[in-house]
Amino acid sequence: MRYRVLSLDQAIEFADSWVRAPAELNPTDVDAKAQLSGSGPDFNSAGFSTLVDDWNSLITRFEDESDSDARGRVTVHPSPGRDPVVLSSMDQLEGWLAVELYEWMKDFDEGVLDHPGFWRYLSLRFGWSLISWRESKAIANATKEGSKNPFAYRTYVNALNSYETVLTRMFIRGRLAAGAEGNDSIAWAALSATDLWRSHIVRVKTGYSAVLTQAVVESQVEEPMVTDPLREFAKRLNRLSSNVLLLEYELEGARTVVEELRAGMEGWVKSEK
Amino acid sequence: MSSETRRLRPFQGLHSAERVAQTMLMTVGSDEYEVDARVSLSAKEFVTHRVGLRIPPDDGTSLSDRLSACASQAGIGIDDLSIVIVVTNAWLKVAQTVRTLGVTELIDAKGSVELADATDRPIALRTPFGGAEVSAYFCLNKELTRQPLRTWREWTWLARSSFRIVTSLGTVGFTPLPLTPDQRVKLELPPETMRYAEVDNPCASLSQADGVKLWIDAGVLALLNNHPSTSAALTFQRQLFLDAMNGLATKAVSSSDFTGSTAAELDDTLIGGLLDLVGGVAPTDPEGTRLKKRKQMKSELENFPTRFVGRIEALVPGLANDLQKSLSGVAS
Repeated sequence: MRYRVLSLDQAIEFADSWVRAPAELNPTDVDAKAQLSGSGPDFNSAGFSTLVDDWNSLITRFEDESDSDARGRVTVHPSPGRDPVVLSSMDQLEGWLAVELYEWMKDFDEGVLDHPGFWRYLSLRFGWSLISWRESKAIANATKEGSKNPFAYRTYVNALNSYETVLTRMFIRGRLAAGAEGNDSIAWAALSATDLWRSHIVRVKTGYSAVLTQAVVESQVEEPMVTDPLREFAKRLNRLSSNVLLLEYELEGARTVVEELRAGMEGWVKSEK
Repeated sequence: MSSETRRLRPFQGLHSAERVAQTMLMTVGSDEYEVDARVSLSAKEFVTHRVGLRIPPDDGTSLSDRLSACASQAGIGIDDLSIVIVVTNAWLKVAQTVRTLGVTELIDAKGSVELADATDRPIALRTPFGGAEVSAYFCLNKELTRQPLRTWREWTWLARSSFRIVTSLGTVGFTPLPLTPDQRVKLELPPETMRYAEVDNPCASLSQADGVKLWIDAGVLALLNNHPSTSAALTFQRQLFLDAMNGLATKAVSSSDFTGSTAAELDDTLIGGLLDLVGGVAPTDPEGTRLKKRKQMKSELENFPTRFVGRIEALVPGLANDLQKSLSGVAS
């Protein structure tokens, strides 16, 4: 496939410029700076553009239904035969879109998916609207006086850390959901799961295993943990991962491990750390 | 910088397994590499070279006896031991179990396992940007009765051998070495020196694993190995990468081999790899584009070396975040 890539400098230049002067935002400018890579048929940019347009419509619908109970809400329809799903957090919506992104890109050559420049191009050429919605705080901080990390938004487009960059972390999440046994609903099943997915799944070894991810998410859905116990649980799971090849576990074994770790946390309070 | 010999693990009886694991060799193309090697290839070699693992013969002791000792010392049966080979791309978050062998299978194969050839390759050996880690785990393959200080949980690993395969499109690496008092004397450094980047020849082959040596105070290095995941350690490791790359860039500027070379002549050299990394060269870039980018970066390094070094910093993932955590005292 022939596709476009952006260098790190170019990606940062666009993001910096758009964050500080949103009026200058014109994603088509990216095409002029991007370089061509690969060979064969061209990347289907029209198809990807349509996909992203659908995402933006969904985000608009989500935001339009904000009320005192929820930041937003939108009803979506998984494949025929499955019940409609109400997504009522930004992270749930990210999870839904993650599955769509993975489905769209799953047959791409690994050499293309492995190219950070391709993800930078997708992020800036097509994904800025999604990214600036999802990471609105980081973008707002960029221009806030006294901000501790005014450049935090760069990590969401620069494709250096795949677990931070919005589109790469979504692709990985979508792939993990697709690999789960049953269906892909683990991607959006947990209500407020930003930390769960980003910090405790995609960033760590758990994210190498779809069934371990499934067991963790199922457990969190069944009996949600708030930030501190979730962090402690993740720490224990990571410790176990450093001695046990959890990648080899099937779903039943993974569920047993998760249940065991959670049982071991009964009575845990933060001060015991 | 990690291996099971430095890792604190809550089990006894692993010594034999660790010893066998430490002797394992990785074959890439026609070359062999020892455990913990970091092998640099061109992008083309990365996606075509044959890759395999091999346990070499040990004078006087058969492979069968050595593997039996691994199991018996760990308190498990010989049939309870498997060797699981996993190939990983951490950036794409792909880990693939390529082979799982019982002891008998490994003995029948005379300790050699093929993992990839030109057409049949694991995913992570088709991804030249992210590179691949090839790991062999000596694992307990079934659940046993729980016992203190013994491996009992299914797929607990007794020992592990790991190797890295990278390209100049990924990162240029360095070898961290303990800076002891004797070494300081040899390097003519004062006793207070904590780290020192040593680069003999910036135009040396990229595949030379110790082309960039970074000497780090032995005590600090030990602490780093024992606590690799704290915010301070992560920040320090990233700083070490910068030190090593700055050392390489600084040495290059004063090297006539470098300044007198054309962009094409820097193919597969350490400094060529760094220029490509900073210049954002892609594996699929046509030859002309690749050389043009490298030429630009060479010019930048020669004329604006401090700005070039600034560009290296921009490539270090997570540096800003870890610095912020370290300086604000937020625990990892």
